[in-house]
Amino acid sequence: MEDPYKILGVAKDASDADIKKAYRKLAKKHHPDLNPTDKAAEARFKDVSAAFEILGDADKRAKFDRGEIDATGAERPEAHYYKEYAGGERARQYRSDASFDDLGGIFSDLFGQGGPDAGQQFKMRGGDLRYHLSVDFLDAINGATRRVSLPDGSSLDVKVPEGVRDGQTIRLRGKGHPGTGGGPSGDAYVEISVRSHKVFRREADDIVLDLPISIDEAVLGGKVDLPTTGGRVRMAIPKGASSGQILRLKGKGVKRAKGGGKGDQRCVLKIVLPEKIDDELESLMEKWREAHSYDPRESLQESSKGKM
Amino acid sequence: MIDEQKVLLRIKGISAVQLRVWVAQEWVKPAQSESAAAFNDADLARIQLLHLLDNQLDVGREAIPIILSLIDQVHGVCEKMQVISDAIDAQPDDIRTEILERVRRNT
Repeated sequence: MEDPYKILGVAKDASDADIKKAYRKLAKKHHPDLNPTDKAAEARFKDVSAAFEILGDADKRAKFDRGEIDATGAERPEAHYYKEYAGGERARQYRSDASFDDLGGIFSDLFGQGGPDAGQQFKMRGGDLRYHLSVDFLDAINGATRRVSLPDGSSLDVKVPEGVRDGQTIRLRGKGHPGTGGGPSGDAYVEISVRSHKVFRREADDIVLDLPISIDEAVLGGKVDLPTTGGRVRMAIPKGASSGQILRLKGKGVKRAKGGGKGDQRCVLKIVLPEKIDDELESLMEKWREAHSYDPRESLQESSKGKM
Repeated sequence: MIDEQKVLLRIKGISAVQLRVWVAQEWVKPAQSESAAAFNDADLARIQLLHLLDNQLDVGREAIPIILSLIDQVHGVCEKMQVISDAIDAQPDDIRTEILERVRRNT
């Protein structure tokens, strides 16, 4: 890290006002959002910010002058610049929708040839609208129709597709602002938030469920009833099941976005002992231990030998 | 998606009044939720940018829409360039080479 005075280009005895002025000048020049296509600007802006972080604060500046902190100063939280989002789905509302023929004629030779719209500049497409809709976990997995009420009192029916993901945007063609002069209506974009569920979790196209089993089911195996996002099913627990073991219910997950089919439901076994350990269980275990004791932590000792 | 109150907690140094002014000016365009405005990650990052322009760099209220518009145009152009670049990518090797050579000669 370079000397913050050098980065801002000010003297050691510069006034606070001079430092602020120098910072503003450099920040305007190098801010990543003001240089969206210049990768190096981000690094330069970071240096300038870090330098100002120290010199812009009388207390920190004094500490730096006394050598109590180095030029990196205190740790700063990771900054999120607008440009990181600007190209994405979530910044659609800001994208300037210049069409190819608007780009100073650069591409019009290639795509437009003037076009049939040339004489009808008053025909304009309506603007897009943006909505947000929260849906229940199971509605997102199984699909549903939800009504969004709009500020003007009207409402919009949104078909939530099966398997929709948290943060996904649904486009409703023609449901935006009406166009003018016979132009088409804009589109409505509905961003979906999916509420979490008490027992199910989603991991990509799989549903994950923690499945509690009793100690006797773990030892002897057996059939258990359990919920899936499509209703209850019966599943076999193998003899000698352990906590953490994963049993897969093929095709009981979420509809895949691509390629068809469904993911799986993964049941993570969790052995749960009875609330109260009665005498019978206790004496049974004591007797069993005498002849059959085993060490489930063997592998832990094995792998920790190498390290100190 | 988060509401106005959470935005104010997340981004220190801006007031509710200021945020509402930015929304009213359409410098920030949150989604409409059932009850209130809902802000996504891109909105938050844009608010951060407005905070920088308006409160820290003092660029002046009149300049802000001009700056935003230019930034939005640059990103719009980048998106279009990406479309063209993808289209070139999908061409047979000899055509791609031909195009790239021309670009190199002229830049």
